Amino acid sequence: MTQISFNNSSHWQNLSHLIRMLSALQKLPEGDMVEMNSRGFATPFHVIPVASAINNKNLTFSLTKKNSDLGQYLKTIRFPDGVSAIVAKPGASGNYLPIARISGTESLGKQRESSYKHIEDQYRELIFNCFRNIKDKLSNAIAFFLSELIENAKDHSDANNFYIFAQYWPALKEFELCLMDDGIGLKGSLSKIHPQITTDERAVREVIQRQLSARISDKESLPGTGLANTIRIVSNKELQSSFTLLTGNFGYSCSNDFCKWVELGTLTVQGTLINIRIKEPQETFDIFNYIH
Amino acid sequence: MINLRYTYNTTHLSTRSMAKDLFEKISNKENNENTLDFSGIEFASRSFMVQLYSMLARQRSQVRFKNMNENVDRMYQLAVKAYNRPAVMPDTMNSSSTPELLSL
Repeated sequence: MTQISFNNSSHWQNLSHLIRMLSALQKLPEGDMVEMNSRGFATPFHVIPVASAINNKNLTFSLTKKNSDLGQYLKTIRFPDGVSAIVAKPGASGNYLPIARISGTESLGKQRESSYKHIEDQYRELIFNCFRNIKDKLSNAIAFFLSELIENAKDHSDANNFYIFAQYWPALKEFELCLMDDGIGLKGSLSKIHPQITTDERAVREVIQRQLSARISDKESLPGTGLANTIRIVSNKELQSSFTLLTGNFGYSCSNDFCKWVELGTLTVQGTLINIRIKEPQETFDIFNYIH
Repeated sequence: MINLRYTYNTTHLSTRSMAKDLFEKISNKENNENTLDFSGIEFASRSFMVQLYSMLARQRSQVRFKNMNENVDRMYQLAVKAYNRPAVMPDTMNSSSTPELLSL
């Protein structure tokens, strides 16, 4: 039986650990079993992609210790299936939000538009009601991330499943938001308009370069402008934050303003994963200094 | 006058679809002049505002944006600036340094 464990360390170690976990899950056949070490510390950055992998492959998971703190936490946040945004509400302690998910018929046809708008509105209200410190200082930033990134998933991903999950740690004064779809990825969506984009690496570099160079001409409806602005907001000297984008077998990740391209080797992330982690700033953060 | 808070039952205007729907509502009004009431709207996304403004500007619509709070007004200003941005950039505009590659 394959065993994985959740962990929380430095940004780059968290990223490496996630890739190792997803690589292990990728090797498993459909319907196989995975055991989770109950001594781990789960963060949205690890929870969401692992949940997506478990659901996509119909894996069965178990914990080494059922009644552990991790086990209770995963139960509270409704891992791995998540809940529909309509029924999403904080856990009993008021400190934990559940994983919210769009799946099945909610993601199809005319319902798609309303499902995605609903999950955006509901989850934003959950974040602001549950994590009030964040609302005071980061409300515009969070509203911006949710509106841009959820709309990207709705319009460009062709995904059957979309996940969103957020957590705030009062002791660390850190907030983390993770969104993931299991759709066609950046390569799939960009190649519809630019057929010359044939690799995940080219797709990621094309999108990210928008925020590095003002010379790229862009049209508003192309995927990437909202993402490029999101990256500008989170990777600067003002906010202590990290950002990660993984799609297919390539990615981009930043810790504050130190950024790297990420080669995933044999791992292929189905769809697009975006994770943002922000330390609560001293004062209200103004996104308009960073949006182009 | 179109009250956006009640028309769309939200405090956050966030999608291009919403902007297109609103544009259709405005276009279907008998006269081209109209007022959009942003009372109760806490935030308008970049996507929404850029989409709406560009459609209205192309049609040269006589639409007033009323009761915008600071956030909405600033996003509106960004949309105006984006629409009027020159197509050709000056040679002196710099690009930032390229990130290095992380292989895992």
